[in-house]
Amino acid sequence: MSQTQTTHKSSFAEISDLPLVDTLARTDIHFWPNLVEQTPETFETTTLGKPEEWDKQLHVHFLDSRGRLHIKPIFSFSNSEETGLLFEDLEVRRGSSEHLSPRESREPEHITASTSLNNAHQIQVRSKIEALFNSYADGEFEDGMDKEFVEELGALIFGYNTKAVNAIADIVATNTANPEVVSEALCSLGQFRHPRSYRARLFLLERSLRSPSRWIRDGAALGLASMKDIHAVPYLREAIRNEQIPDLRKDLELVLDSLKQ
Amino acid sequence: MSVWYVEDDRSNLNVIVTALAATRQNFDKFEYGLFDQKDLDFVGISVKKKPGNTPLRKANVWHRDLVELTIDKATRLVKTIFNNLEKKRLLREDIKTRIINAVRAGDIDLQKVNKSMGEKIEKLIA
Repeated sequence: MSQTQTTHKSSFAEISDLPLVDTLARTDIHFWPNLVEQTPETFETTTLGKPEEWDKQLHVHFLDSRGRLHIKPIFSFSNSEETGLLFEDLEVRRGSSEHLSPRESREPEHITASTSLNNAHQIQVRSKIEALFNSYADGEFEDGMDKEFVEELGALIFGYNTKAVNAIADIVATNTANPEVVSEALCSLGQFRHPRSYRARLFLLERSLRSPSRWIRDGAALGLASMKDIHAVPYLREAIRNEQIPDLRKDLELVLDSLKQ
Repeated sequence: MSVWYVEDDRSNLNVIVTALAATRQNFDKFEYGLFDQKDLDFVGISVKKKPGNTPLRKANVWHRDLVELTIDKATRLVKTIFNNLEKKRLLREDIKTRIINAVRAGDIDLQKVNKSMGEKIEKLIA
């Protein structure tokens, strides 16, 4: 059973004829240096590094104001004025430039609302998320009990949309919060009925399956179980292949099975 | 300490899990561990039948109390079962389905369900 909300289609693979390697949904430039990308087939890790180090093989797929899909080398992508649009989510697939058409058009995808890259506001939102996480750092979360933490987190998601999700992504990437709190947050992210942040939440959960923290991997898997989106299947498969902890591997397999039903 | 007796063929396991999940405030993942009764005998812990108090009536007969439990015995029990405990997790959606089905089948007494859980159940079956 999958969600009826926006799902990320396999269209990019159709366009590029390349195997899916990874997707990201981040515009915060501070996120990028901490990112490690893996290809499912080879498990090579590639640090995407600083923007000035991006090579021409890295392409950005984005939608313009008319919903037409464009593919541009990421090094040529400088600011929103150049593209003439403002947007919130950025999707990146790594591929060889000669295999990609310079421009493709397709049916408009259902995208989240666009907004400008507003670092000051993002920092403010991150502070709120951090404060919430820190306030529960010493507590314990008991299964089956109503949790104020989840209510408060939900209020931030509903109030700040993808900025709140981006803030959580930042915290996951920089490892600055109690991993059990982060785990609980990720588990909850899958339960919120909030279309505007759906894709960002899905992408964050998929990426978090690669966290070095077992708590975070577990929380991410539980969040994905709640979202019931088959887009997560390849990410879960990869996580299962890489998982060294037997109990956690079983739990990941359980989530994968639930998505397949 | 409360434990629940599971038949050798595990025919009552699902009912027990649903019963325990229904005592909570929220649909959430449910984790449990199974161990052999022989481990209790090994440690010297006695078991007493005592009806449970879950909202799922027919599960309550399988509740047991571990009696005369000292700290030493409890510690030895943990050490004994630690490596052999069969751990299992059920996901939130699975738990939700089980509880709702039990409510619809009339197996769960909604008067005994936690208020918060009751509200959630009523929203789903409305």
